[in-house]
Amino acid sequence: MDDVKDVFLQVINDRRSIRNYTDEKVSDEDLNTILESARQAPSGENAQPWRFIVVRDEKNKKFLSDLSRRGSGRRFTGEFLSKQMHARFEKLKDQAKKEAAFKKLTSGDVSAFVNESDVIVIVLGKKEVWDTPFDTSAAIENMLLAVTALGLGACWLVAPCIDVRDEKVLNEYFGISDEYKTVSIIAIGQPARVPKARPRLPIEELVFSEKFGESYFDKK
Amino acid sequence: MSLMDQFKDTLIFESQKEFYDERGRGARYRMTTVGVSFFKDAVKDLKDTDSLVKWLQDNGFVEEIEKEEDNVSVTIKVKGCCLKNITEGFTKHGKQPLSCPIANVFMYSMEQNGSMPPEITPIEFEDGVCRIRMAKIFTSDVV
Repeated sequence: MDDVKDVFLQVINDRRSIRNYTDEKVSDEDLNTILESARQAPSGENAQPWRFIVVRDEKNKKFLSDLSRRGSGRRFTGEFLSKQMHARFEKLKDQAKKEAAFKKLTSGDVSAFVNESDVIVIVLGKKEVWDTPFDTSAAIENMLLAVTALGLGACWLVAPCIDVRDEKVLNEYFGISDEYKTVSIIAIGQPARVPKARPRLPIEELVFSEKFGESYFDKK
Repeated sequence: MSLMDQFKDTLIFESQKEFYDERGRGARYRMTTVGVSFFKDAVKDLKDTDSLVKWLQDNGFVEEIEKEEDNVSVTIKVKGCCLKNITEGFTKHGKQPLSCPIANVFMYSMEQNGSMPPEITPIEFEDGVCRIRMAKIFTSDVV
């Protein structure tokens, strides 16, 4: 069982948000494994509110890329104009790098890569269910871990659907029934570049003992 | 203000606050069209923002709207808004107002004039006046 534990923790630690892909295809067998992993996620009252649309057609992927660019670009342009972005990059002293980061974010390019992946999975959640956001998020995490275990890469995005105006456009394009909401999209493919792990907050700041604010780890 | 109107304002504020408490900051992205269908039915032509401002003033939705525009954004200063109590509900708690139906209809109007759906920047509220800046998204070259 130690092997299982080690492998499982390795998969968790190896997962990255992949934004660069090769042209290599994702096999049907691998995609089925990924979708089956989603199906096995926990679900309140076993309602299984998730539905998935597999998108491989280039035109449809380009549509999702354009919508993602628009969603991200809009959000980050707002952050730029309201100076929130400047505060976020306060520690970055290199002006050229800072400007490049601003451009990448406000242009929406940070999310427009999705059509470079071989497959995009649109994750939908049934509205008339108690726990849709939680159930679908658990299904998505299962998929991301399965992707990593298979040696593939993925990125979880809300850019094309977080704003209700974009979600409406997406839902119309893909003929999604009003009984469902689009929760996220997941780009999946063979990674061309695997980024370094993003920094995480120290665990001492995250975990409390018995009462909020009472550090769990300091007491040990 | 009548007791019934106070009740309605309280309900709107509490509904928005509950939504914020559940969804966090992301809630604002789910409210970018709130109010638009009403104005579409009532005002008819939403492309002309000057007519929209006049309609809002004539019908008592606002006392006054000042509009400024530059290459990247449209800013409106709204005085005497009928939704002021809801905005104040948030600012009293030290929170950014979650949504502004007046700004939403302006954003819709900007869309009718060729912009992609604009982005509303955080709503500033001081001395009973809202200052709302909306980013035009024609191209991404704002930096």
